[in-house]
Amino acid sequence: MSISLRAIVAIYQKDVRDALRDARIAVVLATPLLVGLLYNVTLPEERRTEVKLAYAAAAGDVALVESLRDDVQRSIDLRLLARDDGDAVRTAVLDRSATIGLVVPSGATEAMKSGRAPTLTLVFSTGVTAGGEVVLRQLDLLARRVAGQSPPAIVTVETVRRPDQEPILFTAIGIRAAFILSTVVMLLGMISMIVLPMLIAEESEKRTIDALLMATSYADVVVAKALVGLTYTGLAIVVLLAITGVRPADPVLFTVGVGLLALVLGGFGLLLGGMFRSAQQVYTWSSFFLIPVLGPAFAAVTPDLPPALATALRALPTSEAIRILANATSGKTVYPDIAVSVAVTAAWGIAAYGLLAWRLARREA
Amino acid sequence: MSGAEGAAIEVHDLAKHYGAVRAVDGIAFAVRTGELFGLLGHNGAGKTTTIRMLTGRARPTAGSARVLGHALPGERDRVKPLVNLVFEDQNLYERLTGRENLRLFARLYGVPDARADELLELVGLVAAGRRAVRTYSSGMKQRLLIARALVNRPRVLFLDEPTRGLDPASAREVRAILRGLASEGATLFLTTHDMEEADELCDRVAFMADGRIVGLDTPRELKLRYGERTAVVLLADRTEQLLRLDDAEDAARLAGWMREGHVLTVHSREGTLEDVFVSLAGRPLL
Repeated sequence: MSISLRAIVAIYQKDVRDALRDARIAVVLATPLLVGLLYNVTLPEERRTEVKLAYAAAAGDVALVESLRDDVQRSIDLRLLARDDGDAVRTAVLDRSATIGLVVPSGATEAMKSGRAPTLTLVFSTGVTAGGEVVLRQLDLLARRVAGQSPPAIVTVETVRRPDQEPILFTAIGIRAAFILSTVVMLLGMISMIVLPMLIAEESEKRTIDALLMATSYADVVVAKALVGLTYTGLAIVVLLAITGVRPADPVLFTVGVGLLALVLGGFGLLLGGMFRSAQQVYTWSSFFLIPVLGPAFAAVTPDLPPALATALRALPTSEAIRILANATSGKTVYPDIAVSVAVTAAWGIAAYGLLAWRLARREA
Repeated sequence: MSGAEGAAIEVHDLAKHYGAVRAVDGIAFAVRTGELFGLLGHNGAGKTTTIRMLTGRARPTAGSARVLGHALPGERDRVKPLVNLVFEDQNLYERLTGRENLRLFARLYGVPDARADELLELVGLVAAGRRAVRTYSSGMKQRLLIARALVNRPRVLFLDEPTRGLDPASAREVRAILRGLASEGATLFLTTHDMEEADELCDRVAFMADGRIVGLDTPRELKLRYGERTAVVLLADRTEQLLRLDDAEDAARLAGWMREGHVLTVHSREGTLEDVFVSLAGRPLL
């Protein structure tokens, strides 16, 4: 089986140009991106609410306000707007240039430390908002801390699960990130199981493959198509992440996960392409082949799966790849056995490309 | 080059069987360098399968074939750059322009992009070359197919039914291009079931029926050898009579009418390739 780089580049360039003019492929590529946009609208809760706090405080008390901002930052994005006095703070709240206001009397910090109880005033225009509630609670805790009081109790949160129970993805990395990871897998699946087979099936259907084979080998054609798939994958993932604002904490591991899954699914997509006689057949039947690809991705965000089903899903490459992507996105060890996930996914890749090589050898013969 | 002197293509006992179906059943012939050779036969006679084997795209069940001295399919990679094929199907990239189609194949063969423009000019598609192929007429697509097959300056060009489905004007244009290529010394191997086209274009033709070659020679020789020589005689009573010139009885009738002054005109008629095919294959072409 001979490979010609010149031929691969020529076919690759042709395919990229040709596919961009194919409305069916444009639809396939656009769908996951539209899903990403949909998530932006329907799952905005992980964006911290922005709360503008107009405050009036003497120089010695500004640190107190800044501590307040640091304390609430996990819950809300507190923007501090300095004002000269209490009246200016109230005006800012009234004209809605600030969401809430805080008036700190001069020397309040020292007063709290010495056991006196200064009056800190929170100013609202229409009652206590959700963001204001957070500020109010945190201000109380902060005042106690500055006064040197110990908290009456330390409350911690712990999640328990059975040893055979998988971590629930959306509790581990957040519901929005979990759904966006599912969309990443959906994108990979659609490119690999629809776009790639369509590119190959259409060559067979229109018999353009015969013309290509007069000049080059089937292996060159297949490699070029695989590169087209990887290119679309790379571009589409970058666009999806840009649309949704998701930034993987570990970009290297994320790239490994996406790359590995793209290669594995691409291998199966190339095999599928050789099985169909027309692009329309691919369009019709690809949903059937997408089920085992996309199923695990959505199962990962589904709590309380039956243990047997969860175990069965783990045998599929998408299931393992999403574990890699979850760790990469969160920067945490959500799933401890990532080496196993890489090995299982790679094994699927070896199987796919082994079958493809066998098929190519038969065709060449 | 081995085998027959100056042979571009040599075929010995070539066969291709698909299970019990003998698509090609032990054919033998040689095509001389620079010759325009026609393989004629009805649909399913085995013409396209023969081309598939001669272009290395199908493995023969038996026999051997050499193109430009290279054995097929073993030396397929050596043959590829030296030959090309005008496919029976108009298998072009329809969303690409004519120029993009040609440039793709120029790059595959490693020839400069400028070759695409030369060929668009050769086939009269310079202006249309910027348009998507899906907007082309059937005749324009056929000319583009020929241009594509010339990208690598093939020493042997195979053409599978190059004028099938074309209107007469487009078919005439395609034949003019083929005559031009032949005059430049290219070896052309043409399949067709259009006997007039073969008669007009080909130096030699082979008739194929049911996977076998049933006749092979120049069109003139075939017609002389197998065609019936006839004459159409218009008599004074305005009736037409068809006489066989090789038939003694018909010759005597003609002589009698001549003596009696009944003959107004006599037009001799040469046998056609169609007649020859019927005579050799035992059935009409279509």
